[in-house]
Amino acid sequence: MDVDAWIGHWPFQSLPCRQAKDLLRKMDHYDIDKAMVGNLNGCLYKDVHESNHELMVQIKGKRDRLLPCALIDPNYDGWREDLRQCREEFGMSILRLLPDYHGYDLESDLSKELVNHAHELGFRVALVGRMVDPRGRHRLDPGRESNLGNVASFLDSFPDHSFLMLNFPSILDRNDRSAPCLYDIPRFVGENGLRLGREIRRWGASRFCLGTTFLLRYGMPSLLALERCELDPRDREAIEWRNVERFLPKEACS
Amino acid sequence: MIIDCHGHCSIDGSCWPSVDDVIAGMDLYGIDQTCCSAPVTSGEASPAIFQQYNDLVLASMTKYPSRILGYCFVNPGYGIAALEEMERCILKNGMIGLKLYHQYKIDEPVQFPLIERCVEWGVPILMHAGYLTTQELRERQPRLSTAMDFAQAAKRFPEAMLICAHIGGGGDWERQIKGLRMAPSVYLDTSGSVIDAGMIERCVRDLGADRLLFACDGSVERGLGKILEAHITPRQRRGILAEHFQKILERRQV
Repeated sequence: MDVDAWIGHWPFQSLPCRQAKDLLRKMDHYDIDKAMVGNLNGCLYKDVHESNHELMVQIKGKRDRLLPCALIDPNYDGWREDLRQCREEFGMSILRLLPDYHGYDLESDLSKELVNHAHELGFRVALVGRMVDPRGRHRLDPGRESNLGNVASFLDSFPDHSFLMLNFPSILDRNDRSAPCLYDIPRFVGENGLRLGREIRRWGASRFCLGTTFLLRYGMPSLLALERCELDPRDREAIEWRNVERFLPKEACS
Repeated sequence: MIIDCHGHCSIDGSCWPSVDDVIAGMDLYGIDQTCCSAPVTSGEASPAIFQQYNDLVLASMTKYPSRILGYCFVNPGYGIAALEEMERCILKNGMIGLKLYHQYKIDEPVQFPLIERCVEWGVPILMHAGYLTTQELRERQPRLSTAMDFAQAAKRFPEAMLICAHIGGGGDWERQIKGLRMAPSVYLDTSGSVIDAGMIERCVRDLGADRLLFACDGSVERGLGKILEAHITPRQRRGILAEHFQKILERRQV
């Protein structure tokens, strides 16, 4: 299961593929059964919830393989009702937070209110380390590299909840946290191809899961890294899907 | 056959990754040869230091003669000392070309004697490059060469084998492609941690596959993954992965 897929239009750069059918084609090519998918359009819409509606249209008839991820702007009127609709009517079980794009600080009361409300509704919450490399960022792109210290403080505010950590460069919480977070692997690479194996040996396979960042980026680097890092078959299985299955609400995996 | 034309190493891991780690990564990903250098990326790159760094690469070449090819790194600001070091490394000790960093831009007059010497010897020049999009980042590397700088240098030295480093090295890679369209003699290496979807296809479309050289710059999964995933022909892929660089090596005159 790929936990880090996107469809939609990225306003700052042309993407070769943008639709759910394109994502499914990629998944078929790389033997990926399921993917958690968000809609990039929701980064900059005034009414972010429209991107959730669009996403549901895009994945209609494909729910057996695509798990839709909600985007919510807690500054916008009616966000609680939008969040409820995502959970109860759309059957979404993952909320992705994009504070830079939606105009709030991760450590703010508003952010915590959003996360608390999401947890109450039964969502699992995903944080995104960054959407783009800041060195090539468009001048109008509000996205930044997450301040890792702030993210760590945020995680400390929710000691009993595990978070899905997408596109982060390092582990930010300790293994002895009551609910350790789960990290996808796109940025745990490098060091001449040796880093992922080293990180898995250091932290344990239970801390990692597969993320490709399809269709925003090439996804094969993550798949290649996982394939080549000489894992015990059980650890590989854990990273490929078991850890995520444990993280998600039961009904999301059925 | 796969040749990574942009890597770094040192015999003991003191300033760049140890050559043993580089070889381990190459073995894991099936890379036959890596062209390594040990540039000085911060502080004063004096002759004493760049000679010492080059010795660490020469020792790596000696340890793995069929796997590690070496580039000679110099600071062009040291004039005669830089040229003497090039003679020591390239003529007397079999390094395959010159590596330049951001001490000076590629089109500054201080580079001309070095470029002339490389043209005479028939060896390539691989230079650190990128277009950073924020003032803050540009101030950290004020003499970072952009594609437009390469175009200027190529205009003056059309017979030089200039390699613009890492299209995905962080920065506006689309803008780099625009600049390189005006410099048909300049090669582009495909390395870098930025793996935006469609990057390789855009390079092939706008520059031609013949100008692209496979490289990882330490990020083997990303380097190889984007080439394997890109929608290009098998012939283009073979050329990028090895044949284009083999042709460059065959042009050596000394």
